[in-house]
Amino acid sequence: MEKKCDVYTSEDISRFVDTELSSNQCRAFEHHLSLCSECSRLFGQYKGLSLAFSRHTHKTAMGIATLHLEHKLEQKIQCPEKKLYQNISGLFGKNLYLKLAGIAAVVMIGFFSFDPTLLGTPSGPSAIINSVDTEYTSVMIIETQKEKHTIIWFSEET
Amino acid sequence: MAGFETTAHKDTEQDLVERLKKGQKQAFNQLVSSYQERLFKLAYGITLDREDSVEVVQDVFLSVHHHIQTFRQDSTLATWLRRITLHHCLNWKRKWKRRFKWHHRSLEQENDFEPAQENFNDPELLFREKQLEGALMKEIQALPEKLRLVFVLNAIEGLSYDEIAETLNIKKGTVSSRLHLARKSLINSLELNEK
Repeated sequence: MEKKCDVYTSEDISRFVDTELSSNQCRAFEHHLSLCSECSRLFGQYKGLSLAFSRHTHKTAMGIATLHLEHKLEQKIQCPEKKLYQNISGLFGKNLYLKLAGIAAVVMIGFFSFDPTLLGTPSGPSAIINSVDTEYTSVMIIETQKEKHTIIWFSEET
Repeated sequence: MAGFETTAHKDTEQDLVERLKKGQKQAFNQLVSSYQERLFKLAYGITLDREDSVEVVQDVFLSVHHHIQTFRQDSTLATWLRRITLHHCLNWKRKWKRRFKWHHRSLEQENDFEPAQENFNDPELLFREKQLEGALMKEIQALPEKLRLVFVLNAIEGLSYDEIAETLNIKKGTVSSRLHLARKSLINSLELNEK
């Protein structure tokens, strides 16, 4: 059976941990802590939670901080999306008919690839069953919508 | 002395903001190196995912780069960055690409961090510390977002109740009760796990 202190609530202790009590309340509570084992236990637990969480995030952040963020941001700031758009728009030069033909081809390919009855091939994946990441490879098991195929996707980074 | 340091800090920050507004590349790099660790901690505390927090922090700095002209300096640069980070973290979950994220990284893997130097010679203590942190992170992940936000701002950023209330636009009493509830809930769950 858990004992409870009659003088202070657990919210008072939580506020004491954060030094949010007035200086008078603080002094009184400090004195009480030396007498009440329940409050002392809870104080230790509350303090420990914040410390453990802070320690864990600090260690994780230290690991992340070595990722040369400045360099990555510099690349992103140079607007790669814009360049990509410029490349695509300039793909067929200035010829209007070629551009229209290109758009029509993209629409046709999209139409056939989304309707499996036209080409007799299974449609796109509907669910990812499982995936595994290792340092060099990635494997993904996918279920397709109608044919219930299981596809194993595998890649190896060089 | 403290006042002098504060004034000096303000001057440095003022100078940094002015240089950022002029579009100086060096100023932007200075901003990134000064704040990245702090923002990573905050973003990781909320997302609890290394990759997500990297993406969020990158987006925060890009956002700062694009919108620095709108920064009126009503608050400090750190406060402004914190607000942007919180905004990005909360929106991150709603982004479409998250739904298509297929790779899986377990929390156990996340917890595979380097041992603390001070406990390096005591494997038992190190093991217990790792166990506690692993269990704690799982419970924090299960906390409702409202409670977790308050807990993170308190534990990671070390903000006072007034500052948390201002950041999240809630009452000081609400901060106190949410923080208390978060702690109580975490302790209860951890104790239940131990039994």
